[in-house]
Amino acid sequence: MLAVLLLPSLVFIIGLKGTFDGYYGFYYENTPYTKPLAYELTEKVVHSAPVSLFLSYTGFDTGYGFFAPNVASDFVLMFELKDSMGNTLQQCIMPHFEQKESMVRYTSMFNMFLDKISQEPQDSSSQYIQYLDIVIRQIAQKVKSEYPGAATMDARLYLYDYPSLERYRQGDTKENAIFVSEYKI
Amino acid sequence: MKKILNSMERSLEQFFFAPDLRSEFLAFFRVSVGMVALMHFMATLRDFDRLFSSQSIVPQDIATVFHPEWLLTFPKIVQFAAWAGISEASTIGVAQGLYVLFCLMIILGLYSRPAAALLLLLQIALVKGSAFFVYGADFFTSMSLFYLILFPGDRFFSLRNWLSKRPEQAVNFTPVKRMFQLHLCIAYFFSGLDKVLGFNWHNGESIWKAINLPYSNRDFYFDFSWMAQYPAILVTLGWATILIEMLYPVFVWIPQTRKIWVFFTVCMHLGIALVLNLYYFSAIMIVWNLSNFYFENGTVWSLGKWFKLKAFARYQHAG
Repeated sequence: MLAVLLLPSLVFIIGLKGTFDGYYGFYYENTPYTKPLAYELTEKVVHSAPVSLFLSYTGFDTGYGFFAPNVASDFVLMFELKDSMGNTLQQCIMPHFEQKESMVRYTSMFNMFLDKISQEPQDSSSQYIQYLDIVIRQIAQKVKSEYPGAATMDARLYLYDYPSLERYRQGDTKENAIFVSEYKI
Repeated sequence: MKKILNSMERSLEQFFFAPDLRSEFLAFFRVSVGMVALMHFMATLRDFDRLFSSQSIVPQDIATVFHPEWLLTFPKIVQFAAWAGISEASTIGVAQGLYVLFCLMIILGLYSRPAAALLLLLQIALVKGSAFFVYGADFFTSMSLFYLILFPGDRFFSLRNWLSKRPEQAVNFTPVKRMFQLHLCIAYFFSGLDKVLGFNWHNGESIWKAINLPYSNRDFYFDFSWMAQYPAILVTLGWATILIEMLYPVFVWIPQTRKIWVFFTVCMHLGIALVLNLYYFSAIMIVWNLSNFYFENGTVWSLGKWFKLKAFARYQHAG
């Protein structure tokens, strides 16, 4: 009996941890807080070596809070390719893909860039932010290699800001691209 | 008290272990998961190098920098093969061939359990090796393959039976089926709970934001601007999503509401497919829903009836 309850219990613990992650990540993003005991316990279980191994090899290492507690903002990574004279040759928003599903996979990566805007300004030199910058530079290099005529490239990361329902109803119907960072390749 | 505990234990045993000989759901689950996994793989096959090889858009040593040493990833397989003198192109070719072969074995029901185990290993190696390009569909595919290892999938409606002239054998797969059903219920409950904790799901803003994300709605270009004039629709859609998900564990166990709740949930996933263009995520979730509850009959009703009878007996006894 215990054996058949084990897996649903584990799924419950993972779901609960995901709820805590989402809730505290959203409402206490830059505010210090004390983790409730239940949160710490779920973390201990999920991060313990045997459980972690099992979760990684079965796909159970996922949360269930899809689009929650808030629909995350998305990003646009704009590439501007230039010739040796500095003239713009081409602008694009992603590397060349032959299939649509590859674009879905590519854009699913943008979630991690949320850390670039959620971190305090003094943390902008943190190792993880530097890591994200390396990732963007690598993507930009790849895009540049697709255009042999391009001498230089500017890659710019924008936060996509579609007007909220309230703003839209007040007549603000244009989407905005909020500049986050720039990379010269 | 002891009597109550004993009877609860008996009812739990009944719930988890009572033999269920209806095998339609199992054949449906096996064939559908195999097909979704195969189609999802084929949907990025021409971009395989850009996503999963050393020529990936994000170099794999960067993508896997936070991975633990013990995690098997595709770059490690490539590295190992290179050490044995096999080129990356050959390793990729073999991996692609094996992926398709294992999917076909699952679909046809030819040693589907070992095929699912090997496919799970290969799929995990691929998606963990390019962790940036992973999303919900991949996790649910992995979990589906895990359940296909636990289920005796090729005992029914299978090529293996046909080839070996083996008759369909009765196997009690209820424990795994119940675990799977509970898994789905817990997943939806937390998905709904997480949403109800976000205030933007109460006022329609989350639905509005989701349908206007930059990479959503790129296939049919539905015009949703008119919805801004009728925010009640967006509020209703937000709350409907929360209620469908949070109350899923209640209404799918009641025979009278089971089919309608599965229908609502499938409609929600069809909406996600058409508007957010997450086709494979929606497909695998629809497969989970139909496998778990479309073929189900009356389990909780009988449990409820049993509890009612016990309560009635206690009432009579007290009287």
